[in-house]
Amino acid sequence: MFTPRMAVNVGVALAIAFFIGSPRAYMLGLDGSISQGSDALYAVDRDGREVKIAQTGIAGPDWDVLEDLGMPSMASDGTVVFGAAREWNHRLRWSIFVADPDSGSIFRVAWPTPSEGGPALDMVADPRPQQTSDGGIVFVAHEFSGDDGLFKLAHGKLTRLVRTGERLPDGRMVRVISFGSVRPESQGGVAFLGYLEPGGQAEIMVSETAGITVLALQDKQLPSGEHFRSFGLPSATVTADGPLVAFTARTDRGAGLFTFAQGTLRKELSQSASCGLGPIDYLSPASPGLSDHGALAVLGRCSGTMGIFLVKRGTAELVVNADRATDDGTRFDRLGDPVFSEGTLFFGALTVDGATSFFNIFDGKITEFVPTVMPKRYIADRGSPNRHTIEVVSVSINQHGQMAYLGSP
Amino acid sequence: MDRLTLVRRPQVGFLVAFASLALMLATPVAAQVKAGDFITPENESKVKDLVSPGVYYKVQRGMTMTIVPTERIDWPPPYKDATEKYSSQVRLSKDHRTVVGYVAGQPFPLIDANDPDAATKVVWNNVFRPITSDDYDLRYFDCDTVYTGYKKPFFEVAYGQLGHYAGYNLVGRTEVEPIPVDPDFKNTNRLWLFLLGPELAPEDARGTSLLRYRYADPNHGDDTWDWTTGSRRLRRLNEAINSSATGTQTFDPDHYSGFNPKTEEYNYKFLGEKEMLATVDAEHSPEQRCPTDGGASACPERWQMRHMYIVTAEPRRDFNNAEALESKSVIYMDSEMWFEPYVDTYDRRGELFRNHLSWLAYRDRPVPDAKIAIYPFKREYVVGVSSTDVQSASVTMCYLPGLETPERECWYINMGAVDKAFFTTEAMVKMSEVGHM
Repeated sequence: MFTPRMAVNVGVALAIAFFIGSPRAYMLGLDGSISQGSDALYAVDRDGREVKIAQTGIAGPDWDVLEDLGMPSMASDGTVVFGAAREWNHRLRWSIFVADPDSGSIFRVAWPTPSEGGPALDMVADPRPQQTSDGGIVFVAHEFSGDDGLFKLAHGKLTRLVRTGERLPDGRMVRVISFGSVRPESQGGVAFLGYLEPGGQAEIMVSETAGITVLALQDKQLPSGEHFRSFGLPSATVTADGPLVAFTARTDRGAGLFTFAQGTLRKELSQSASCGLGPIDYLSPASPGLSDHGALAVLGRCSGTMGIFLVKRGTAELVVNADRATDDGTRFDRLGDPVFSEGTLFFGALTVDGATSFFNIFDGKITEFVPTVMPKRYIADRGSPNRHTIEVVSVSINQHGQMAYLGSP
Repeated sequence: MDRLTLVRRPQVGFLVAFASLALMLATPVAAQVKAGDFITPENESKVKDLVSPGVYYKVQRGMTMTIVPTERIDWPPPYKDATEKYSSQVRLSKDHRTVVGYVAGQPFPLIDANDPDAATKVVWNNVFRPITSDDYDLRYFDCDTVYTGYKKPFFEVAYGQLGHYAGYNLVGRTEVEPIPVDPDFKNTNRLWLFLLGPELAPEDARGTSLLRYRYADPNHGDDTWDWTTGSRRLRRLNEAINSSATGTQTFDPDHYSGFNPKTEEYNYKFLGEKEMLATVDAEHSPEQRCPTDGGASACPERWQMRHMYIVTAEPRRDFNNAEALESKSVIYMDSEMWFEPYVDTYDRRGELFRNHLSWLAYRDRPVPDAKIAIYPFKREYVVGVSSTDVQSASVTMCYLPGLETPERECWYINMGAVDKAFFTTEAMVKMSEVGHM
């Protein structure tokens, strides 16, 4: 029996076969890839095998050729949420997709259209969708009205959490929502970086229930007398004490690592703090590593040595040193920013032989991270002819250690 | 002894260059000049530590400066908005040589001198700089090639006049549709397109043009073609030729508009940040020929103290850039305007070779009597550029708009004045053969 579902599958297969030979298969992104240049999105299925989810130059689920792939987000249930761009009316416009690496299914996320009462979105850039603990998706998008909005899609309903031009209770206006800065936590709050008017750059938290909270604001004076100058990207989680947001910031006295919890802003680490080798002289503006237990890790430099630091009570413990070799002799050239998964610290790194890999630290031992069943050669194995690269800055990891990442096809 | 000298000379050259730079950076930021000062070769020592060695060479040879108070330079609002909106998601790639997640605006607005990637970030900010984010067409400009010297009379070795200096960016567009990315980027991987020409004067070079494509792929070098009058044919050029000046004039395409070669073909080092002098709000547009240095610069002109990032760029000779002419470029990047007012290059012996100097104006129109290119905000315009070969004293000084050209408005920035069809070999050949646009 040739069912309608089979017809759709055959159609998709034909479309993929048709487009595979297209010269568009050699399109590039601004990704510095060392392969043919196309982007591919990979994830790890429940058996630990690497699955290719999507590739630029090849038809996606709507039969449109995907022109660009955005940064993926690995949800707690193992599904992958990501943005992808398609050419429409001579313009590149983005959509949001959800893929299940286990079943191989992939579909475009739909929401109410303007005629159905939804907002008119003009998705000109990667919306960087992130899955929330209740199965929803939060993302930032431009609206045809001219404003940008931070949206939450849950149960088929699209809710605008905040938009540019919106007034805060104190009269200030949200002027900019920074794309790519959105970090949801599991109690419904979403931390993001934005700009207020008047006020300047700010770390902000928004939720459907509690509204907008300004966590830190440019030029605001801290109890120590210093003033914020600029902010890094936030991380957000929920600990036993409630929501916790962490971010690095520069003040007029140098960089620092800050947290905001229970209505209180704390400076966890100062630039001049001791890190074993001497004072810290640089902190990365990327999202710091933040565990569900409130542990903090940050990429920084200590007396000229790049490293990853665990932050405890105002001091920084150097746990990965760019000059240090792993037990198998791998030496690092450049380190990426750290992320936590179930108390384990992960980080991407460029090794001195030019390869990029993902590593974890457990009991002080640094190990190249390979999903459980997957033969090592399938991910960026330096000796394999089937090698593909991993863009380590794109790696998203959930609390079960499942990963999604961009790489060469 | 001769052998020893030959072997040691390059090292000595490098050492001297680095030592003088280190000394310069170590100098306390004491204001040796104040608003109202007029700098000439008689008091040039006042600015010795406030300009690059190449600019100092020009001051010693008669380029005068009027010192004015420092002024704030704002970016075009669309570029500023794009920066605030999109920069937080931009990262350097895994090899720390190119960018990931770039959409539009400035990729790295926060430069931390302690960041090990500060130099690379400064250079990527220069790639996507605010002065021309979408397209530009500089119509009709002219250049003098002279030998410079203090109070030397103006004697024109060569005069050149060009029809267009034009570019089209496919990525990072903020003012003209398609915004922010031209879909063609995903098909061709071209980051930007550039065309210079046709040369309108001198007569024996009439029609000469240059077309260049830059690709996002870090391993894909620039494609460059030229059309020359003598052969009347299109030639594809070796990428390395872009680092060489050809003919009588002293500009090389890799240093048009500051530092312009393929980004990933260089290693960058952050030397420091410093208050230095630059022209960011020129008094004159069109610029005026300097009467005291043989016509080798625009002077007297307004110079003000600026906060600069200083970065060196050395060709990756062991990887993908074996043939670049210079041993290094030292880029002096204005931290507010995000355009490099000057770049010094050093030869392979490590000795100062060329200085590339730009005079910029900050206004809402390129010339006071503009009728078309008028903006609702102020933006920067390059109104004069010089390339000075300090080893031969030969200088090419260009006036934008030109001193002797029919078109006075000159700069058309982010107006859609040129599109992709303008930047094809076919279009260039047609333009070159008829000798005009």
